[in-house]
Amino acid sequence: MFSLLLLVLLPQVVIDTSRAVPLPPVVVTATRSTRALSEVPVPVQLVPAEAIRQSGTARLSDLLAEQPGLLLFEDHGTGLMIQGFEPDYTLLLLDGEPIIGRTAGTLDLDRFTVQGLDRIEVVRGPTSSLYGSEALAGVVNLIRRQPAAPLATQLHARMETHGTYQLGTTTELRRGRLGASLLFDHYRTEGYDLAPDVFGPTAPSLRDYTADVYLTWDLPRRSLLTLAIRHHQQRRQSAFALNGTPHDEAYRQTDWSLHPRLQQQLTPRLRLDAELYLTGYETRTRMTRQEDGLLYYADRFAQAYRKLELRLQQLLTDHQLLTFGGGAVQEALEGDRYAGRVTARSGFLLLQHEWAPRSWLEVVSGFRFDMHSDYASRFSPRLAVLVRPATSYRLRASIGSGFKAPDFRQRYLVFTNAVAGYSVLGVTRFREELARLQAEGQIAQLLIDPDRVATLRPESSVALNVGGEAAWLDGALTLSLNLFHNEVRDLIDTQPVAQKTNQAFVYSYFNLERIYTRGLEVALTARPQAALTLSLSYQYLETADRDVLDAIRAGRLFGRTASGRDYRLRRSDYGGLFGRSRHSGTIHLRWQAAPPGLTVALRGVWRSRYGYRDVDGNGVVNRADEYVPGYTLWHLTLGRKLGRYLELQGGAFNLLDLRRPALMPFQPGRRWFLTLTFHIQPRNPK
Amino acid sequence: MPMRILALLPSLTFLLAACDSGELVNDTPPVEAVVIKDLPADPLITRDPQTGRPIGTGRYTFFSLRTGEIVLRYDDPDRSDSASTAWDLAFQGTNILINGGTSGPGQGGAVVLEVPFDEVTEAPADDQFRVDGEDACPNGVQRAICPGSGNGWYNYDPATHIVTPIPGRTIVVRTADGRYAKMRILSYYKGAPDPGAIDREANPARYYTFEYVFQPDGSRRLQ
Repeated sequence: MFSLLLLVLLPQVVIDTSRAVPLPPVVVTATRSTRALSEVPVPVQLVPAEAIRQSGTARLSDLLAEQPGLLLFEDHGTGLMIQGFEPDYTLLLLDGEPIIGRTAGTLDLDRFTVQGLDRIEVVRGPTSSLYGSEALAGVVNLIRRQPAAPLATQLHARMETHGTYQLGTTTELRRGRLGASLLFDHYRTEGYDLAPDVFGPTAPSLRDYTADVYLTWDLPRRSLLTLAIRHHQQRRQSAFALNGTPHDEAYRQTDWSLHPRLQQQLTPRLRLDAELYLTGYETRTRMTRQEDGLLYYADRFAQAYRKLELRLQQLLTDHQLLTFGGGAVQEALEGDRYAGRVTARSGFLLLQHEWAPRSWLEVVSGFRFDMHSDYASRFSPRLAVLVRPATSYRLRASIGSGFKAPDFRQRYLVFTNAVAGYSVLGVTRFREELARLQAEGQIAQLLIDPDRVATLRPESSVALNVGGEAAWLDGALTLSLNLFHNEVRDLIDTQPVAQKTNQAFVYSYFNLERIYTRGLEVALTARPQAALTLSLSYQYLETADRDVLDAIRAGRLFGRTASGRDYRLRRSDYGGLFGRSRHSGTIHLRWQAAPPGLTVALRGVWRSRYGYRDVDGNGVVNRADEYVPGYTLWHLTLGRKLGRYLELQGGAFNLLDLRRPALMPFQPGRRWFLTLTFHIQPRNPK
Repeated sequence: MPMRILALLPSLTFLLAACDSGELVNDTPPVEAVVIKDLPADPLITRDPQTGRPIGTGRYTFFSLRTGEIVLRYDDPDRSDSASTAWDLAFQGTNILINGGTSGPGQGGAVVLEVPFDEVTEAPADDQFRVDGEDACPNGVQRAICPGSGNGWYNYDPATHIVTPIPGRTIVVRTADGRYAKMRILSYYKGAPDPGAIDREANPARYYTFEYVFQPDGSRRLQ
């Protein structure tokens, strides 16, 4: 109840974790204040270090794929789908700061090693009231491990099917007021080929390096200074045939971040957080003809993001905590498709009030106001309430607004397809580029008034989450439930604006579509014995395009059967948005046998069919052959301690070897793995 | 490939019509539904080796709804018939022209209705008909039957490059001599395969299979 105090004394809490006192799990993402998981009024999911380790996964994609209510969405990389949203709409954070570098909206989860993480927090529902753009479906926060042990080093070596190896080390050090965590991780895979009769691999071979340094310094007078530095590089090598001629494709991606942060207790009731966050992302692609190395295509893209943020947290009387913050962001972008370098500035203010007026009630309200040089300003409020009618029951309700800023393409793109002759112009470039095309005599006619290509509004949502938790048998049985509805408008799409003299069109971007996603998430966890945990989860999801529903209601949308008969679509014929399964679920079985130090983790991930193409020409999912059939994947991980220093882990992902090369090229089938971990930790001098 | 014209058996038409309307008007014999298979609409000669864009002759195949016959094939170098009223529709790639306006000397026009073929019982009023060179399409061109994905009779999937007729769209045509017909396009690929099972080799593009009903008596009745 009085955990509001907890966050004010944060530097000491950090020191507390070095003792073996089990604290209730705390989370920081949902309110930007350190709160016990059980007191947060919005749905939050926690993946602790123990679960990360027991899963035996190497990459974030594999780890998140088996978590309740999270599904993967493949589109230019492996992205995350929360509450039925495409990956563009989920914000990924590293220690509370946004990770940049998306391709076609997807932030590739294969980029991230799970090493060095203390936990992952997943917040459901819009959290733009704290984080601004992209926090529309939810927020995933990767939290680094705080250095606590005087000295602990871990070496791990892992091998997996498809020539996949991982070699890494993590070290933590603490000397008095200084702490350090160091991470180096190398991951490589030879890729795989599901269609040997087609030239080129299905998945490229890959070399990936991550280096991460995290330094902490407990200054006197209750202040904590931290510095996080990360560098990551991934190289991919692939090949493809272009009109029968073999070509090589080389891709290199580099990203880095620098994140100094000061947490200062100004008075016993007032805390200051000052953060600077600098990050960069760069990709290079080269396609060359194999026989003579002739360049076919080259592309470079670079992105930089700089942010300064200050937050004050004031503890008021009657269990109230006020957070006030603001910041400035500068973004820069450079790329072959963006005609040079572009910069944009934005600023934001946020205010949040956390209040526990009664021992059974908590109310969190707040908003954030975002101003940007390239798109309309955005006000994002949120109100969340937690009620505890009894100790083991909690009810939550929250209503909030999320948004996603127009992406770089929509803002800055200046692209002409040399083959097909069409052009796509981002809205900020539109006037200038259209004038240029007109001056060159390339425009035959305007299709709409160019003044209609105005400032884009961010895509925005209003969402409701209602649910709760119950625990029985001293917590041996817990049930959690969440109902959600996300109403989204102003989704951005292209529309022709002018016709060129070559008959091709000039396109720009407009706020056009409206969708909704709604459903139910349920999770049940049972611990019949201390050593055994069984978790079941289920998600029911409904998604729809509002314009499609209007067309169905008006009787204007039809399907065509395989025999050529046309029929008017009913609501029940419409399969919702592409890539969404109506039903999905997980089952986790964990068993820890203490004496031999054996752990068994069996996980099942199930999803029902999902639409992936349109066959009958109406643009929506309605026919059975427009779906990928549902499936279940089983993963098994066995771990065993070998003496004081060694730990052996092995198992398989996709144990039953499910493969559908045409429908699921990203699923290579069964992957065996074996990991050897070597812990070096000097005995405590006790 | 010679074109085949399949006129459905009158008795079958009778049965179908009976099923749809529930009762049959006795004094007016039902108009016949005709299916034209694999009308060649300037199929690919080759592809541009650099860009992969399809290359054909660029010429149209002209078709008469009254006779159900091709008036002039795309590969016939003698184009004299194209300036006549002997044809009603002309096909080239995804383009369909009517014999009127800037496309021909006839009285032709067309309107694409969002009503399934079987439910179109009568041609709409003349002010709803569009004419080539007069009425603008969403993508700017002036055409009775709009080209472009989603604008007229088809959707184009940029991922698979497949052109699929939009179900439930019926093209009502005013012919060169001012009579009415309704049509629906069944396939753009030779052999009219199911759109989910198009084989690029066996089912080349630019072959129209369509179904139509032509009313010879000049009335608007289309069933």
